[in-house]
Amino acid sequence: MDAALLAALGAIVGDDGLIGDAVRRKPYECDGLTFHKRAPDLVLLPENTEQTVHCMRLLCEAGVPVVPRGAGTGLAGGATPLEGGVVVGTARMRRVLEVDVVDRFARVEAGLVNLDLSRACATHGLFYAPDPSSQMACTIGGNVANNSGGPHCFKYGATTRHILGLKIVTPEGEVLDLSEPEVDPTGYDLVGLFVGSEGMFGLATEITTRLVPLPEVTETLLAVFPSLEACCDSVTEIIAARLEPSAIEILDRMTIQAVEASVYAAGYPEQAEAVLLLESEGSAAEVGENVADMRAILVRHGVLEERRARDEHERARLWAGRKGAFGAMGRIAPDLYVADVVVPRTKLRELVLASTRIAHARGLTISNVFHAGDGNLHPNISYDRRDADEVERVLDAGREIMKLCVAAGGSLSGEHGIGLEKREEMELVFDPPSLERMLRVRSAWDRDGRMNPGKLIPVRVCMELRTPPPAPISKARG
Amino acid sequence: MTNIRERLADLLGLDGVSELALDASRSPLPMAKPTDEAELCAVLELAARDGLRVLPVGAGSRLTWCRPPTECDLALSTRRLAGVVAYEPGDGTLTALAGTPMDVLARTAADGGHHVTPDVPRPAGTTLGGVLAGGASGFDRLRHGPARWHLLGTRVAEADGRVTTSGGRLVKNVTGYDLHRLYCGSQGSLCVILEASLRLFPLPERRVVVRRSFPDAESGLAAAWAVARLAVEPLAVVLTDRPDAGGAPWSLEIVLGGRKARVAWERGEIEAALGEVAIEEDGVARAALLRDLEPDPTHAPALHLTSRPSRVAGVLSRAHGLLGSSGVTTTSVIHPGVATVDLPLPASFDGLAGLVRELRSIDGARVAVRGTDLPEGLEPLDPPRAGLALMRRLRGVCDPDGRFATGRVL
Repeated sequence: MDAALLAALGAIVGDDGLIGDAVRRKPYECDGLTFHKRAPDLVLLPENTEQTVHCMRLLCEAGVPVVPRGAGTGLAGGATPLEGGVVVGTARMRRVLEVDVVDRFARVEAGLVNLDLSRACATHGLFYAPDPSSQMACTIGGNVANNSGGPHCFKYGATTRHILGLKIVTPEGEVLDLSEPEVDPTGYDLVGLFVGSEGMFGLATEITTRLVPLPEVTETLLAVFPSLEACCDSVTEIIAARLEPSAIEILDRMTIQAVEASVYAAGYPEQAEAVLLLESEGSAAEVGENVADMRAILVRHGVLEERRARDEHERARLWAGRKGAFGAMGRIAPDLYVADVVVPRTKLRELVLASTRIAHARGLTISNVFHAGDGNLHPNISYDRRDADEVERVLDAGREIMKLCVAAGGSLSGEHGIGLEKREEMELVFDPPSLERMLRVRSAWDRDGRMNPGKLIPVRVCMELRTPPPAPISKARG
Repeated sequence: MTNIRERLADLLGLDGVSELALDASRSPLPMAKPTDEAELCAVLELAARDGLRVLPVGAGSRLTWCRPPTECDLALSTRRLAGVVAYEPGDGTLTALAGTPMDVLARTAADGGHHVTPDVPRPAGTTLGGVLAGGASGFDRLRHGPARWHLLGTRVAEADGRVTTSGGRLVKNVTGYDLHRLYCGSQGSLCVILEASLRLFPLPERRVVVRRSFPDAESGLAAAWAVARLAVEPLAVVLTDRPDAGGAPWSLEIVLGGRKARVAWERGEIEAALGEVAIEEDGVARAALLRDLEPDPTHAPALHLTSRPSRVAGVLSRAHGLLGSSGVTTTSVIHPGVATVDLPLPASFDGLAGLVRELRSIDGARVAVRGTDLPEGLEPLDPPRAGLALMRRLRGVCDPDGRFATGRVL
């Protein structure tokens, strides 16, 4: 990188905010998707919006690609600097700027860890609802970029329903201050459009979020099933009956066993073929009625055992198992491919089973832990990245699962985003004019295509429109 | 105009052409009324070829919500693109063509035990496409939020007649940019919505309305705050002095809905907090009446003020003061939890521009004026707080020739 530019950037962010040496840049070569790696030319960690603005202006003048990064917990390669350039991280922007208890919103910096926002509001009887499994590490800014979900999005909705405002630094280094919460903003809904844009429109530095009241009563139920099929069918019936739990999660046998052998052990019965983790929130009367109706459905589908969390400790333990499941899978193999597809909730059983068949046909080890209530499947394939053949089979299985789900009326991603992983599969869902429309909308935000280049839009579409093409995805490598 | 009308008739037949009167100051527009997507796209191709400017319309119920078009050669109605494409009771989603009236959607979903949000006023006179393009939210906003939250995906026609999609029909989906969020509230200035998918909610098993009268707005708002602090989730909370609501003189109405146990518990909580209250057991009819109190600006202008919940009392007090000093007697429909205040105005009121200017000086308030034939120079909406240049670029890439709804938004 040009020495003068480097010096100028260093003068803005200081020594603590600039990572130039190769060893310290290495952790930024990918996110949770490790198939594709490339170290950035530089990492910048500005402390606030003002520093971000100055950095972005210099990078714009120099025509350098910019890859925004939160905690790097993404699973679709969205934070991988495929074309090099500069990673601009939000790790030093972690403050809670304002909590408005009366109007129930918070204004925070983008690098604030998701769970820390709820912790900051708990004494006021409020919390931030979207709760990705990585919520102890992932950032609100990263959640905005990916429109992240989580178990309780079944009741509360994904990130986009909780973002009231944003302060965005544009690719040219201007501040777009949309942070004031408005009932109905005049003009176009820029905030709604920005959420889920995977870092390709600009860099959010401050975020205004909704806060919701902590429920009066929470009931958590673990239902043990003799088969994954029966477990899926019970969820389909709960949805069809229009019951309103706050979360509906399924873990299959392999996941249960991995969790129970790990530090996340939650007391799940290891011989169960599947467990269903249900939660209901509200008034005592409402929760009681909901749980009774759900239990009747569980019984109809042959539930073997039901356990109710007796206190907050038991509830936390049950959820720790669910949220630690991806980490626990490390006991099965060194690497884990976490697929993320979404399907109509009437087709849970057939698509979970078909995904399993696809993996088994390729000699792969698959497990399932997923947001059943939203139809958001996570077929997880355990593998060893040092085995090139196995990696190829994992990627092939992933593609087949995506095709299967799209053909059944589903889609490519429920919460992880498209990133690099599913870029080419976008053509399964959208025709060329629709993809071209997305590319043109992106060009309104980012005229040079420098923000997180090479993500989301398939290479072919970019080529046909003669926009800067993303770099080719190399074969998986260790 | 004759020429355009003839060309449209060639494409659509005589039944497919009528006219739309926007305001008293200009001649009615020829209006194309295609019956399917192919016809609609053919009209757009014709417009693109001949350089005609197009105003997409549904039932026209929200045409007064922002500026009238500055230039327009024809209106393009989606009214005859009507029908439910897919209702999946087991999945809780509904997809319908843009011209489908909202009351039809509500009845279809109710047959399967579902509730459609937004629950807009006078739903028989509105269409799905028009409601979404107008950015209208419903009477049920306090519980369910704005309409844009539950729009799952759209199929739209672009200015050159190409059809594109975004989102899908799934309750959770992050595949691609949320362009449908961009289209929601864009007033037809970016595309013509052809079809949209919505997330549904359980139809409340029971609906009741808890009501209490207050001598003034301040005490009514204080009671609304007391309810907001409870762990209850009403469908709506309305404070009004509209005579047709029957309050004396102010009536706070809390619309509860859900499963029977929940409604019973919430009712008890509210009774404990507010003391003596009246209960309307037929909550469905009462809620519909309250919903339809929102002023209809077709015949007389109306003001729509928004702020934050904590600022509603101050905004209302200042607004009432200004109205009083302007010699205007009006009634109010207030949704304190959503922070909206609707004020119908007299059909003929000379001081409207000055009043709006003063209202816009109220700290923390945003003021919209809805109505036809507004005084020249009076902007119906406050300007965007930020992002105007970006909005122009977005319009530029979505509608490069500026053909759609010219001048309505930017």
